[in-house]
Amino acid sequence: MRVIAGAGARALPATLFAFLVASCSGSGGEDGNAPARRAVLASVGARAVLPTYRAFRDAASSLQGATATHAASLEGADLQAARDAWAAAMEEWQKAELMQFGPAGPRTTPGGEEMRADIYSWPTVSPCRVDIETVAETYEDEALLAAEPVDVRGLDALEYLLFQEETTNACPLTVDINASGAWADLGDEEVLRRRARYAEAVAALVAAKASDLVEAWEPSGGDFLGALAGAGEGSPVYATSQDALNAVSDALWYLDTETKDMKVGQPAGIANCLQETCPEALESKFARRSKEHVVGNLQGFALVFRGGPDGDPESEGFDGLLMRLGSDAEALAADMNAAIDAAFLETGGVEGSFYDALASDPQPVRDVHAAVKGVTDLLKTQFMALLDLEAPQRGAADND
Amino acid sequence: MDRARSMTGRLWQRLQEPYDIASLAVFRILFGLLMAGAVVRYVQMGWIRRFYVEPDFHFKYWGFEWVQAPPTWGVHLLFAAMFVLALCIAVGFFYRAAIVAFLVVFTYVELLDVTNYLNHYYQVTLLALLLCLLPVHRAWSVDAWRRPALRARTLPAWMTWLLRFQVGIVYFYAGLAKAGPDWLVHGQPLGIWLAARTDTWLIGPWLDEPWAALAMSWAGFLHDLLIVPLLMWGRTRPFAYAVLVGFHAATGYFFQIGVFPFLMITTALVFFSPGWPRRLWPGRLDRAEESSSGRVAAVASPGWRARAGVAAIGAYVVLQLVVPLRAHAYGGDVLWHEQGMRWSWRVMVREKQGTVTYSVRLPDGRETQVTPCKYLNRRQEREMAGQPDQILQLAHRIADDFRAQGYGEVEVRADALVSLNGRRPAPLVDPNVDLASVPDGLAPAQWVLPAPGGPPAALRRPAPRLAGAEGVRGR
Repeated sequence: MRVIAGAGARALPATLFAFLVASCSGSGGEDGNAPARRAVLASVGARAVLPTYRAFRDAASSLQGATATHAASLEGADLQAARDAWAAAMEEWQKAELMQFGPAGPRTTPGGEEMRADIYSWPTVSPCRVDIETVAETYEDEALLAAEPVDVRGLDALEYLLFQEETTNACPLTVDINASGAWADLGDEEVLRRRARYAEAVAALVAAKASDLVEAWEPSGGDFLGALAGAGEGSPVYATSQDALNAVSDALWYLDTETKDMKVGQPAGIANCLQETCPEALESKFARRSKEHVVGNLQGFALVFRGGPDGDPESEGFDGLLMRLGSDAEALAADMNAAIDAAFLETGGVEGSFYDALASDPQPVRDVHAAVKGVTDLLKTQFMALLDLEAPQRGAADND
Repeated sequence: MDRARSMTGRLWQRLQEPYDIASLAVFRILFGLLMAGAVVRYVQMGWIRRFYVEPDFHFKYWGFEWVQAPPTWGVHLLFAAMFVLALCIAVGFFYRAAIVAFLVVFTYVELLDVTNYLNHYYQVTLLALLLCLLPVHRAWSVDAWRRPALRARTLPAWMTWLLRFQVGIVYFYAGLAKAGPDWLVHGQPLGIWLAARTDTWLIGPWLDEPWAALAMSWAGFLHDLLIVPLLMWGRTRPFAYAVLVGFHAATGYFFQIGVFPFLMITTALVFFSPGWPRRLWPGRLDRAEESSSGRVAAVASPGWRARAGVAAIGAYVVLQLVVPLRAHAYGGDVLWHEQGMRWSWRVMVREKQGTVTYSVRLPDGRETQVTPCKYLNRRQEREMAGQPDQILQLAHRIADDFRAQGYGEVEVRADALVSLNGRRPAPLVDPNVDLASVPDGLAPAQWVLPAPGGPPAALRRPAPRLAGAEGVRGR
């Protein structure tokens, strides 16, 4: 008995050593959940987020040029070119709406610098405030304009400036620009001239912010990409890969609250609307591109969920991670991908704009709502459960 | 008859046996300090505002709907009072008043919103209630220092045993709650939780191995069931306590469970022999109590007051034994329908994620959906989504609001999808039932649908990804 005990005692340090060696080398190194989650983060950053931001930066630069041309000429063709450039930039940004983590995210989140609001502040919008700034010509001083609230200097303000056909203003009669007669004194031509000049100034600000955002992510700049991909391995932002994965999944919830409920549900008369429809709740009131915005949101969701564009064999997304976790998770990945495709199909099936559809037959828009809900129901339940993710803004709270 | 009387007499003798007060005095001190620390943590985390001030709507406990949230300054005042009272308990300053006031304030704050319910807050309430009955300020307290007549070196044994019961019952029922197939056969929800913690130093790479979840599930089950008997037996007590400390340290490290580990680690000290603090600092602590009067008189036969006291405490013990079992009276899976879930020590046994949307039908036939975020913050929404009684409460509130706006008697239905322990999401409540017409109560909720069958999600450890592997989209 003593012999056995002695052998056991001698074997103990060896066993402990073996355990330590094995743990230091990781149980496999490249396999396991932490490396798999980091692979998703790296792919989402490099193949979904950064390419989207770069594409938006380029589109914002084109928009800046187009608005400058229009401000100089005030020609109808140049206005159309500026509108097209706005739509192209917005197409990219609507994808980026689903990527609000890191520098684009709120300051209350890891690495958050609230850059998103500087570019697009919807649903915080105020055409009346834009009209007030038009009268005040704040846009003539770039620094002054940059210090103004976000709802007068982003893509939403630009939409109003470029697409509002009327030369009336959006303010009540009691507001000073109307009560004092300042707006009426401008005259139609001056209103159009100022709006064109204002649009040029806003487009310059947006383009600069777009460059800042890309710079914050580029490995040669702020390298948020590295901070994301290196989560749990010395990242200055995310202590664990799970923290980073949670931040990315938080951003996906945009599809539920903003896209499903606000952009589709309310205008379609489904939620928070007691009329047949509430078209005044549509996101894009002047350009009437609400449908395209929803498509952009779905594209952004798909990009993040799939870790990159379709057809990219190197991309590794949440769906790939789920597939590697076994048949239950694999089924969820398939269900979510099918739901995303169905949402694309329903949205694409709406004839004309959402405005037109709501006026003639709102059912196709309601079908879009149901299809998007098919995605978000899975997102908010089994997806969150299987990956042990927390709902956004839940904040730290104890359990037991 | 005589034998029974003799046994009762012996039991009475045992209950009245003088036990060193040291252990219970330390219990009081640690409890007070822990509660003061918990209040400080609440302030640091910004939880007072987030949990009690920001929400426009608070979920009520059935029967306590009358408990209303005070104004913002009142909430802050309550927490300030809790902090001061906790310190008073720790130092034994106006102890009797302090512990009663603490119990009232703490319980009131807990009753403000069901979504804040935690098992360990319930345990704090019960411990505070018991401490109201026990004169644990007769040693090592300001009260005893100021009033020598109060001092005592011993207290009757039943006081120590009552606290041991209260601590022990948590472990016993927490162990019993784990005796199900999800926990013991499938290692869930631990498997889900551990897989998300593989960045943990040293042991992280093993945490997503299926055997790890199963091993830790069984370890937790056996720990909870066996720890009390092992703490009761002198020969195993030190080792059992070391295991207990390790267990709570590990769960505290892996999961955000607040002061729960500290509460259990400190309160479990009550299982040690009553004089253990004196042995820790021999001499000094003894000297401090030399003037003690030893107030426990020779044990006499119980009078009517003592009998009433025994009956009350006996009723309390029976209640504590029965309440956690009430879930079985409802049938079905308590983790799903949640009836009988609270106050039953089912600690960390489910992973539940859900989503709820309400449909409101006006008397004229119009319909609209209402999302919970109109009333709740994200934390409340997450808690509510898996708990039918809260879904019902919010439905009532929505109906009230529509009624107040002049829409008359509306019908409110809920589309609630829930994933339990990683299963495919299933409807939690019957979407055809008008919840506005369903009264809240303790009766079995027929409008809650049965739990989904089948095992919970089985997760495997991700293997290395093959380059260019085809995805589920057939890329």
